[in-house]
Amino acid sequence: MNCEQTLSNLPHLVQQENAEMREQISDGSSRRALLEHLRTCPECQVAYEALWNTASILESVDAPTPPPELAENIQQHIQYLHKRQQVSLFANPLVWCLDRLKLNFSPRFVNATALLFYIIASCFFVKLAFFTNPQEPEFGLTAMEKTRLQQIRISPTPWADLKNTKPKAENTSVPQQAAIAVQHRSNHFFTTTRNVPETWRTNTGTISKQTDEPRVANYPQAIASGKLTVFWNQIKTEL
Amino acid sequence: MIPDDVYVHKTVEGDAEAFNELVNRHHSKIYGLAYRMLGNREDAADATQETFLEAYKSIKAFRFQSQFGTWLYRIGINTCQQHIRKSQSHDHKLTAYSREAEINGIASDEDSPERSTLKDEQNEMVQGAINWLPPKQREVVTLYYMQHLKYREIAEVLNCSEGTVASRLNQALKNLKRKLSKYYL
Repeated sequence: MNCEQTLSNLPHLVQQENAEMREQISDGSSRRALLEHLRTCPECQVAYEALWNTASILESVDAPTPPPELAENIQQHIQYLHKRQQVSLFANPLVWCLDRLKLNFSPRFVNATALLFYIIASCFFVKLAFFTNPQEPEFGLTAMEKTRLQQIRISPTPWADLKNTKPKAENTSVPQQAAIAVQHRSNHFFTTTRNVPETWRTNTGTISKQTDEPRVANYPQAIASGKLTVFWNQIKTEL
Repeated sequence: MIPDDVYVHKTVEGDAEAFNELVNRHHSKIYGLAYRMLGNREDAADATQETFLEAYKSIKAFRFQSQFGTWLYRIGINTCQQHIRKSQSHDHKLTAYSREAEINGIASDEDSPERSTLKDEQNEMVQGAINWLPPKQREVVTLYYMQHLKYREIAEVLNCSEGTVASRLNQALKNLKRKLSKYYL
């Protein structure tokens, strides 16, 4: 074995584990041959000593002492991480807020609070979406027109009945109150009292003789009287 | 003494206190590794903390095929490698003079009384020489000489063959001899 081979294999010899466990050294040369060369070559002996000293220094170096608070810091971080892992995903925004406020609650409490919040919020949105009165289409009506439309819907029966009733000239017993009611609602679709002479309003007995339009007088007396009275009262209340 | 695996099992089941015991057992070793790998105390403390946090996060991935300490070393090495990569730009700023000064133990970021002792000077000198090594050789030297791991364990930690470990170690020893020879001749 020459010096070059010896020098390349010296680190193996220095490392105790290698020296003990491996009889065969890296390039195939045996440990015995390496030791024989070392015994006879002063230059390789110096190199071996240098390596041995290097290894000795490395082994003799003290392990650095960790800062005393290091373990505690790590454990605190672990505890925090543990809590975060216990908190459900949906509670993360709440945890974020609590962290900002530097408040510390148990994970169960945080989960329960977040869950409660989501339930309340869900109920609110469900109510908003499904349990509110739908808006009627306006069809371009003004507020006053819509109010009138609603009034008509409240009691449409008298007008509809009046419209469908055929005129009877002989029936002259229309109550004055009903006639006045018709007169007040003259701007609606059923313009009964349009162009009605003044005498009609005061003397109901002459109505049928002075106009050809459908008359209140043609409506059966009892029904017309009752329903129109109701309607009159509604109008009076609104006015 | 209760084996590490018991505490690992407890941690997996959700007992964070069990992991605290593992921290108490292993934090010195991981700190030593990080200090030798990174060369300063602040980075070493940070890397140690990151190592344990990472270990806690991924403890369910521990398969009990190796010792917990070996697995922790692997995470520690990876964390240190990340730190080294991050600080590479900083390393470029480190001039040849400052490197040599670190080896001589005359330049430092700390100025504590303990530096006056011979032992501390030797430690600094060795640390300076280790810092000078390439990262892969630094890993092997640290694990072999400072952490006293076997070739097989180092190979397991570094996920390479024992032959590779021996080769890196030989090269590292030759490099260190060049740097340290003037102190013992």
